Amino acid sequence: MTEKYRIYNILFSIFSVLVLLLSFAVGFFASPFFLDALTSRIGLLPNMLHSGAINPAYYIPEYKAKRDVEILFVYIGSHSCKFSNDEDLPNLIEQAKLITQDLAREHEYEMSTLGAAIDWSVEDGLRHLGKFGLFDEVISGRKWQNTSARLFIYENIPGAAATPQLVLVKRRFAPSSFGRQIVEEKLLVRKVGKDEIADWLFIGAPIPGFPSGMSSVKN
Amino acid sequence: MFMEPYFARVLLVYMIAIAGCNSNHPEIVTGRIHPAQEWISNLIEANERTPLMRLAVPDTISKEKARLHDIDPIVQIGKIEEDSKLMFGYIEDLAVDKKNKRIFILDARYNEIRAFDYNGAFLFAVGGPGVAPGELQYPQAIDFDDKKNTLITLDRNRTVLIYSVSDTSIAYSFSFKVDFPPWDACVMNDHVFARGYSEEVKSAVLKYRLDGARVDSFGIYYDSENPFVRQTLSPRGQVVCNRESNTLLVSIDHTPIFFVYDEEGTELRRIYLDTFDPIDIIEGVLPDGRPTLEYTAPQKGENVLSRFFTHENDFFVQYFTVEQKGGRHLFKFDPNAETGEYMGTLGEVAFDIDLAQGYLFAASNRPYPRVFVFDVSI
Repeated sequence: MTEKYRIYNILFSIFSVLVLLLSFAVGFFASPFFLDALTSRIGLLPNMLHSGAINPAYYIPEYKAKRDVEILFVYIGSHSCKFSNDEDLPNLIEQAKLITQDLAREHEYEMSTLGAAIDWSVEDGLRHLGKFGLFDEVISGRKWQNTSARLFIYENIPGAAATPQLVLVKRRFAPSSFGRQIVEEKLLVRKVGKDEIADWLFIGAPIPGFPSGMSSVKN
Repeated sequence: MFMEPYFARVLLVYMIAIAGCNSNHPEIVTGRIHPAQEWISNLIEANERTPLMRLAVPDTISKEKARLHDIDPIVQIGKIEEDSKLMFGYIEDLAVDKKNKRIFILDARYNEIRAFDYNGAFLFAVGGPGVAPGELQYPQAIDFDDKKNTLITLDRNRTVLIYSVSDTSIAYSFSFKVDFPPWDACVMNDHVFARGYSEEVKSAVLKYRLDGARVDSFGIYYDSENPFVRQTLSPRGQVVCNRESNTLLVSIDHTPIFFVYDEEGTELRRIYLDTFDPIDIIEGVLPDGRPTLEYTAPQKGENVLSRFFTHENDFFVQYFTVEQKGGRHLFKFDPNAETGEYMGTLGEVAFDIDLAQGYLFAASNRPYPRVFVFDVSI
């Protein structure tokens, strides 16, 4: 009997340790830390989402060439900017991506996203952009001499040099002897700062020329 | 045995994280508060040649004075979603053509000036984002001279753009560079007065002809012995032209004292807001030796200046009190008179007033950009 109880005790102890380890594992894999880490790595979660296993609450790039007209969604932020690291901002940007995607689909336009980090260090910038879900394309490094700043703040479509910032641009492509070229680029929306971005989402993310009927506040 | 080093590692990571966060914040090692009280006192006391006018919010505000705060606009320009010309990105400034009853709205997101009539009907637009002639990069302010039908736009890229306005259209005519990154500008008698500051000229206002030639510089600036403080605080402020009396009102942000000049730059009067409590700007030195100025978050009861504007011979100034109900306090004064008048409180930021027609023009960007026209004739 004594020998039998000893075996039971050992088995029970092993079982208890296994249950403990399992609960730690469940706690860890269900944690926001792990899910955030997962979504910042291209492949795993998007594949799960594509298979329909999870309702897609994140923007997922299509990874294909765009046709005639696209809406380019640009997020410009910075690892070193306090306002770009506001804890509410990733959710606001994700919402903005999804709403813009819906609107683009409604008007039969393509959509792509660009994440731009105004940081000296490429790694710091990528780490910052990793908090904002998936992008079709990212640009990081060279601080304000960054290519995205040249395109969307200083030269092609000039505007306020500040982060965080959201810029929506309508781009028209046309075939040329060098392949498909951008033949027209038009600013649709520029929102600077978390408050402007949040206000814009609050009123239904309206875009001039793109009636959506989504406005949640009456004029 | 297993847990102890684990917790030690967690503690170490936590401590590193805390140290990293701290290193991102500027640390004030030594500090003086600006605007310095001695600078204000010197300007108030040294007024033997220039008379001083004091303005103050009365202890009790009559119902009549509080009325402006509660009235509804008769016209609203700006929609959440409709015609693109009624959807604004961010309203930065307004100018009003009182003779022809038109409002020019400067949109700093679409980099465009749009003209509307007093009833809110769209008339025409000019500008657009870009660096080509007539296009805008970082638009900051506009002003309209109805005597000459000249509209100017100030771009933070050191450019003043001049447009000529007809009854039905607006056309870009010329632009010139100014000598410092400007903060504000106004136009009067074929001259542009740009508000800013540079160590070279040590003046708050530069005067240019419309062909871009600099003809004069004048104006009191924030005189600190620390060049970093002087160069940071001096450029920020407003300039507004009174084209009836040919005078200018000039301010330095976050200070309670303003200066009235004639168009030649002679100081005519100083205005002191007795009941204005400015926010604290703390001068300091970072641990690595670099100078810093920290704008503290406005505290309850502190005051922040809003837009200045003019009508006939009067200047209008307004400010609001942080976390205090009652809106913005509005004052009116004629620089040639002995005293000014407390006009009451406003719910929105006013940009201009047309007392002859009985209209007040205000704007708000939250939750979406709009311009309001109030009937203040009653």
